[in-house]
Amino acid sequence: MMQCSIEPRRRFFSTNTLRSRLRYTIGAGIAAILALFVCTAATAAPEVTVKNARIRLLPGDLPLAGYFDLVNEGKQPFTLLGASSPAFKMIHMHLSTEQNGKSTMLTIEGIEMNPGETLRFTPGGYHLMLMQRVKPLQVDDQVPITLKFSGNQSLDVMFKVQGAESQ
Amino acid sequence: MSSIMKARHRWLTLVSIALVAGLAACQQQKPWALRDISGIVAPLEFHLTNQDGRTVDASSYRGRTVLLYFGYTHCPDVCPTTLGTLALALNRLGPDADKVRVLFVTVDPARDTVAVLKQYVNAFGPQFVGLRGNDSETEELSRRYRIAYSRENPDRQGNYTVAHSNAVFVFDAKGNARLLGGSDDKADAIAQDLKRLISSS
Repeated sequence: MMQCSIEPRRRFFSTNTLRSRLRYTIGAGIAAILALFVCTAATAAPEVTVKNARIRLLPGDLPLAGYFDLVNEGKQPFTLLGASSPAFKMIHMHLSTEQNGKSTMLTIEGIEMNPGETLRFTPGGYHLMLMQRVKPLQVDDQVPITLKFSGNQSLDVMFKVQGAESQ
Repeated sequence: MSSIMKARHRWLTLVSIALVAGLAACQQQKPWALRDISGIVAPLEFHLTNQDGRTVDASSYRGRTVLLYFGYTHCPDVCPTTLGTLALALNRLGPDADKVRVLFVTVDPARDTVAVLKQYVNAFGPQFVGLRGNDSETEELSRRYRIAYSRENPDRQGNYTVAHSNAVFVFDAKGNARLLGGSDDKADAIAQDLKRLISSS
């Protein structure tokens, strides 16, 4: 995940004159503005709404499924490319499907969404496969997941952890 | 009353009786929500190890309505969705849920040890039983119920998925195959059929 916090630099007061402190402040100010600009460009959020973001909890370190409803509220098409999270070492985008009478999962590289279109990640269909928990999870936890889109856009979403029997 | 009117009256009575009788017959033969497989699928029979490490067979579950499902615990979407739907259906039965057992047979015995199965089935409810056999036992049982499964190619980390038929077989308290469900069946429909099956046995 992109880190956008600006670390305050340590100040040295030992032999500072007023002028050098002023120069330092102006320099830091410019650096901060530049950093903000860079951050905004890197995490530009697409015009989307996400609802119903949830994770179905299974015991141990079994892979979990993440579900949500995504709406393209903008005027431009975009592609959902995948997801990442500090809570999981690996996330794949999958589609459950039936082939030759067997349920199987296809890895999906990207899903195009036209303006106004709704995409449902839902049991038995599209899902995020969340693998290798960084730490144990409990029902009612909120887990941050970053959805990644075309055009270097991304969106941070909080997913609610629900029980094994949840849909 | 004229004879014509009498005849009409008799005729109406006959029609009403026929209608009532017909309706009653309809109610008795109301179709199941799930697919009826009576006499088509083999009765319940297996010999496997349960989540407590004990050897069990079909006789261990005589007297209970049994739901048989093949899956694997590393399946993130379809298996927990199906088991979750069954858990919801059992919730709708109230105390009668105890007359039902859901037998989850793993098609991935390599990763689904007894300990993994125990944790897994406990997450769905006390009526859920985890069962495993060795490769040949699992294959034999899957052939009996015409369940297809195949291990997909592992990724670089060695993770793999198992494609498998997503069928839920329902057996009555005597172990006879009665109904077949799938991933599209809703909890209410399953509960409705289970109630009927429990009350008729």
